[in-house]
Amino acid sequence: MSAAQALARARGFSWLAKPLPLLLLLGAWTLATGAGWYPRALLVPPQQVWDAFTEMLASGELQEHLSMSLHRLLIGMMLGSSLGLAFGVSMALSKTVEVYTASLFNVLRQVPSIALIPVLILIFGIGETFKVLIVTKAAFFPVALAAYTAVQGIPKNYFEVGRVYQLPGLVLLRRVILPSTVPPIVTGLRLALGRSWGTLVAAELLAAEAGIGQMMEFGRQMFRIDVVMVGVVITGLIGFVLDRAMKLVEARLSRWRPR
Amino acid sequence: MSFTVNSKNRGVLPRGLVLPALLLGVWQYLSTLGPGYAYAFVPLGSIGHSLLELIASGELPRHGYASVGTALKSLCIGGTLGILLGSLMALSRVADVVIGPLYHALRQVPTLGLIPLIGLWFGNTELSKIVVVSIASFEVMTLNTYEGLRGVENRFLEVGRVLTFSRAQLFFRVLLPVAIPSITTGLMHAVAFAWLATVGVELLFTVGPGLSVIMERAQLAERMDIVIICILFIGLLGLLMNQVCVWLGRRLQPWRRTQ
Repeated sequence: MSAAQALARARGFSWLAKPLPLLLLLGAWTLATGAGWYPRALLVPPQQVWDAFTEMLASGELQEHLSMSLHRLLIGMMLGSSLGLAFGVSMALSKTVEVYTASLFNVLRQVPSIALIPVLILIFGIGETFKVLIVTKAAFFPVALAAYTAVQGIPKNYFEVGRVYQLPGLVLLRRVILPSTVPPIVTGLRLALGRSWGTLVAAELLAAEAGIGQMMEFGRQMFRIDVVMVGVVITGLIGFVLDRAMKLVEARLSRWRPR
Repeated sequence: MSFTVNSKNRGVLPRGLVLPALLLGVWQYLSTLGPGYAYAFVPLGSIGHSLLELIASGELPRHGYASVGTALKSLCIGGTLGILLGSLMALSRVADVVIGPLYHALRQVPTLGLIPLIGLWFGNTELSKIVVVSIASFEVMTLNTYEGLRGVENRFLEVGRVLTFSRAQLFFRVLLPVAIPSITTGLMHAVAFAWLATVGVELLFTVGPGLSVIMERAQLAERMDIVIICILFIGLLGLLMNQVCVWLGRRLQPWRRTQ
């Protein structure tokens, strides 16, 4: 809670507290364009961006782009995180797997996902496949790393206690392994989601027929700054919402932690 | 997950190379299966040949140098601005209230998603590239500096007050040293992010020299061998820059030998 919100709360304007930062931003934006500090070509007034937004909403164009992007994100995330989870856990559980794959894993991790776009386009063409694969790559590494660290980090004495109590395997999983590993893995998922979204937008900017990124790139080519701004705002909003949602899941799952 | 080779794990390094060697073998085999396969899975010999050609003609060093140059220039600009803004927001409530919301809103948008906007404002130029990568470094440095300075524990500040430090002394003797680990971590992240942004920006603004510029052109010309060489060097240079940061971090914090 920023100082402005605290101030608003204290003065009895608590209903204003939540939206205050956004209102300040919007106010500054309207002021800057209204006062003519910037030429029209550089910064369009919020009203024009809003008009472009409603226009695209009405024509269904926005929904089409958005659903395409989110669809790709979902599939890529599911693929990448499940593979990452499996791989990370197996690397943590089996020394053999770790020894044989760790160096390759670390090397591949260094290559930015975006750098792989040209290779994937050459192999798979400018279709849906390469975009889903890019998201898969972007999601795979953070999740694998998180899973590896989480499973590695389970204190050995937990297992000893389990043995002393002769806990059956399923109970061990539910009461010992999952609570200790799920929170860091969810954090890994959150990071993967953020990176995947950014990578997907970049991939769509480069080569796509539909999607938020393509919408922005087309707007750029048509010199429609309002369309580009709608894209920028929506991309930011989606990123924010996804991140927030994951943070809620994280908080919920970490409830058992003694804080 | 880093290895230091000692007597216990001397067998690790060769075993870590088994999987990559195997994959290279499969690659080479696939390239011999037919012209269709050779298009995607370019024979290793041809990759090696192109590599030597690119190095000899000076193309590779020139573009690599340009990419690293872009990244470093933007790092200096964005990083400095980031440290300044981060410090300002951490030390001044007013700045935090006024600029904070704008910063956090900007941070939500994936940096590469700003490319169409910057492209419209500054055109398809070197300047646009530097602006985008600077924004990427700026965002990271601001956050890390802000959190580093904010996270200074109260007891340290109390000691400063007990010793009747002036504001300047408080800043230089207490806040800054405690914040330096955060700032150096921020620098490492900023370098990684800046490199990522450089790759993305060069793929989308294919103007001027740059590794990803030739990679994009190679993709359009369907030269898989050049694309692969570029990927290798992008990963290598990224790794190099990261190592330099780690080394710098150690030099700046001699009191943290147990890093």
